[in-house]
Amino acid sequence: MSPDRYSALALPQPQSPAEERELVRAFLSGLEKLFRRQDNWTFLRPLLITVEHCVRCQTCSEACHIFTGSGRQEIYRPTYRSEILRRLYFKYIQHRRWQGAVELDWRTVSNLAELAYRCNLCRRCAQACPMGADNGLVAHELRKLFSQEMGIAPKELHAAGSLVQLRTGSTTGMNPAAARDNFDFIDQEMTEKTGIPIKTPWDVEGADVLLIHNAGEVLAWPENPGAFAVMLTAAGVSWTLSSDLTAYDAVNYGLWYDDAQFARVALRQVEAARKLKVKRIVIGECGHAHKALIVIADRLLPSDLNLPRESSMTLMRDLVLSGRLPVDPARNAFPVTLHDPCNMTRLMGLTEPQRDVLRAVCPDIREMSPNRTDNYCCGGGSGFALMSGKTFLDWRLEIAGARKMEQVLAAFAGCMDPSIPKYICAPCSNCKGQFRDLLARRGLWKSNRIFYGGLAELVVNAMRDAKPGFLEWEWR
Amino acid sequence: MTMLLSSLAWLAGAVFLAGSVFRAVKYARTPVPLRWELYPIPPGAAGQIRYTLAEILLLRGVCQHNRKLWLRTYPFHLGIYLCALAVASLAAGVERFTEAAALAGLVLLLAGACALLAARLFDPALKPYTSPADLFNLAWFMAAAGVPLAAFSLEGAPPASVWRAVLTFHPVPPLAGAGVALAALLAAYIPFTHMAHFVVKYFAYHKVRWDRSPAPAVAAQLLYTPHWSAPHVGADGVKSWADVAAANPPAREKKP
Repeated sequence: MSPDRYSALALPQPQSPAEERELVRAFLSGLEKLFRRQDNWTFLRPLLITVEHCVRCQTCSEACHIFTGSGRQEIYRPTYRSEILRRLYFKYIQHRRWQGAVELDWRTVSNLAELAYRCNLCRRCAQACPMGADNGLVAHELRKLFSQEMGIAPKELHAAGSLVQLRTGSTTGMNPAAARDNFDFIDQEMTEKTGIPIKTPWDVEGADVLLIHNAGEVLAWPENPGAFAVMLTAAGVSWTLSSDLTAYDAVNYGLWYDDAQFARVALRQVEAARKLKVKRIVIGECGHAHKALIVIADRLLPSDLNLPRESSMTLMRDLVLSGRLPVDPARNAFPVTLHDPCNMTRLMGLTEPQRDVLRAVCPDIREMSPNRTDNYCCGGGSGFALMSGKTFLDWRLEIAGARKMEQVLAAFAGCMDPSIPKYICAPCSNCKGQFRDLLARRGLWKSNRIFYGGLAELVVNAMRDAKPGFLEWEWR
Repeated sequence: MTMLLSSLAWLAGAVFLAGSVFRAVKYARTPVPLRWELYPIPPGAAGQIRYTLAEILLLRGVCQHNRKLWLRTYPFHLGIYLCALAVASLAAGVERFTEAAALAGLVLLLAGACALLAARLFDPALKPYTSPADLFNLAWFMAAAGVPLAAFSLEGAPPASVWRAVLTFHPVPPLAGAGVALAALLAAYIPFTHMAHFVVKYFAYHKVRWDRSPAPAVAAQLLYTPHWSAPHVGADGVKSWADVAAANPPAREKKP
């Protein structure tokens, strides 16, 4: 059962009236908890503001890349799912009937579960709302209701995601020994490619920097953590990785659907940093990991665990602009456009350090429009880049990613000739995954030589102390 | 009747204030949330005040993002502001200004309410999301603005003079009195509806989307007891939020 022809959850249809009633009962139980301070103190205030004060003026609709990217289909309007929740809230929690009719049956529950996964949680709609309502938050809270009360969540995020991370250390399933092996391999590669001897340090007590990568990079784009190792080694930074559970994988999928899973992962990451007595934690190129550990976890952490936490964007800016990494921008003589990950920009205000770095290492930068805090989500946000489901991949590439691809093509207008290689700089692992799939779906690497990658790779490609040709322009 | 109407007007003002305070207290007493800011955040107190004033006086957000709606809702809100200004200036001895503000306010309010009601009834983007309460509220605004204007036209009762008379316990013509009653009841009703966004926006902006400050209150909230039912949460009705976060049930499970 799905409101469109796609499915993120593949929920089974109830087999009997008793199962239908149980589904509705469990949903109502979760709905009550969503509005109780004991159960949902984490987001009750903004949720109440939104549910009680959204005037459904639809000002947010045109800000939503999914609504506009779908050709303005009603079910993707930011207020659509919120309106169902709002009516349920007034009917079943407030017992007020004049707020609009709604029927609660298993179809409504099933549709809401799917609709919670038709929003990237990018909060561009909230930015446009004159009331301060936040329809992105409503999708987030619905996801929590389904996960925390009913155990319903996409398998990529929960069963094969945060549960695996808490059990093995990483959502990839890599245990600490496997992670070390992979980094040994990356070290060898980097040493050969750059001519700079690289040996990734592990569990170094008292290091200045505990670097935490999205572990997916290690498997899908090893040149990114490799580039960090090259930069930090060449600049003489005192740094380390941690082999503690969850501390060598910066991801925190709970951010998207479950407060308990979120808190568990965040606490373990900072606990590892405290154990190593590092001076600060630096998050690699992963947008949601930035927001999870630097912003959302902030008030959860007791003072002894509230260690300095920093973005790799600012670290790279400091290394490049201070001259500790001499660079030759001529080595990056191709058009580059910068994608702004929502989690770093609109949700953290981090817009300039990555641009400072890019200006220092690239001579031909083409800004997308709009950009910075007004950017469009890539369509892979809130875990979608990991999710394919039965037909979900089609939805996230054709609908959720449509506006972003329009932006990319506009940014590269005038240089679409395949003889000119072009680079989408996406300093976020999930965004990179989405770009990989978007470019492949549209054949833009083969036909127009549009490539994608991180920011660290561009820095190392421009480093004077490294052998030229770090970027290999090989599709993967 | 005069006593009844005057008492109603004063009582409605008191209910409006008490209701607004009640709503503010309700939101102030909600638990401090996790950080959930939204950028850009106006820099410094002066920047935030400038932003807020532009939002209140010009409805800048609607103007930027939904010009069509702004053309309807700005007259509506400006009408309310002018009516409030007229009432506030009753004791200031600027009678011509007060009367002009009241008349202009009522005309703008009526025009805005009509335009908003038309949008709610006929705009395909708004109609499916319009509740009976929305229509009722707008109709009430139309009546509360239209009746005093009708009284001015038919009874020759200038609206500000009517309000001055009512607030000082003097008689007013019947239609003008009906206008006062409608406005007074509306004022008393507003704080208990979503139209109290003039209170709530403070919390939406200053206590959620612009709030990056540490929150010591969270330490106490971590001792709350969650009751979520999904097994992976591990909430048993006894464990606190801190206990749930510290636990790691998946680590004890066998790998499937």
